[in-house]
Amino acid sequence: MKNKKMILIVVGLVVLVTAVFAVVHLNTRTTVPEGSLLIQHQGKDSYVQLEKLTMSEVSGSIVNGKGEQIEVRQPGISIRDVLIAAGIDADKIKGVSAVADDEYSAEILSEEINEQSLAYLAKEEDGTVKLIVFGDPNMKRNVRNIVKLIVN
Amino acid sequence: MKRIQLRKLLYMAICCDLGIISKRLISPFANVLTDALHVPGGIGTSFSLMFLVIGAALTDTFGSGLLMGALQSGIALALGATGSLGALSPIAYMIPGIAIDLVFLLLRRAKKETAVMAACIIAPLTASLTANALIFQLKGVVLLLYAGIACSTGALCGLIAIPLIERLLPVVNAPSWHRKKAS
Repeated sequence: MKNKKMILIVVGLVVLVTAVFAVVHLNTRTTVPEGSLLIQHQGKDSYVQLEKLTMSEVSGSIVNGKGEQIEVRQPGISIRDVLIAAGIDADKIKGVSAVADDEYSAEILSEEINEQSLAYLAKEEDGTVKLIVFGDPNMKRNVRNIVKLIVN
Repeated sequence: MKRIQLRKLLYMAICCDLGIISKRLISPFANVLTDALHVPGGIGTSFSLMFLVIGAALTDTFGSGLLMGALQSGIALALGATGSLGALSPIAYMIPGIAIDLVFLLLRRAKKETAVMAACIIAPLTASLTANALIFQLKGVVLLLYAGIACSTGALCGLIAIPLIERLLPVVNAPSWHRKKAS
């Protein structure tokens, strides 16, 4: 009986601590307005409206979790063009960190953005954008619901 | 590792399957919660690992957690249900299995329910930290929240697992048919 009480107290404490973390996280996280993309560069924040970006058809093949090739054909824009639209000189950057709404992020190198032009933001049916990096051996960097680009 | 009875191996196999199925079943509901909290997951895995803890508690054999973790990773790879972990998923399945084994080993003198609850909390915690190290790379409060969600869900799963184990233990440890016949 005493042991069961102790277990319930431990469960309650764990849930309480998590609730505290949730409150802190929800109050301190950077919120990005729907339909826009936050770009952080040299300590400055700027927003790009997704609707105002000129999207063209992005096509190619990526590899899924099972190792199968999947054909991609959907509207999108290269990361390079997004940076140019935000007024950033894409040739002078070291790389970009693409961050999703759930804080999952992927790093993209400068070469992948500029010389090889492998990284794209593809528009999904629900209006959000996902990162596509062609040539990757898996979908680790195919981050959905990108809300923030941190330019290094 | 001591020899495990066939019956116990079958229970372990069932627990592995139930773990994978439960993760799939719970994931739409889990996604609603994790989307609202803006974290990349942590709930479905706890449910999945609850069955591994149940399997390990029923078989009461050191190494059963690792064995079930390895089997689950094999099933997940075969079904292509590896999620964002891809080929790294065996690591993410086996580390919580090892954690379950270690918790049961360290708490072998404690009451069974205490060990089950500890395993239900620690296994998802190790799974979330492994996924974070391999994939998510979260930092700060987000990481604490992600780990906290895994622990909380694990703790709640522990409350389900304890009575389940209490009911199943007499069935698993019941004398087998031919032994009964011989006596």
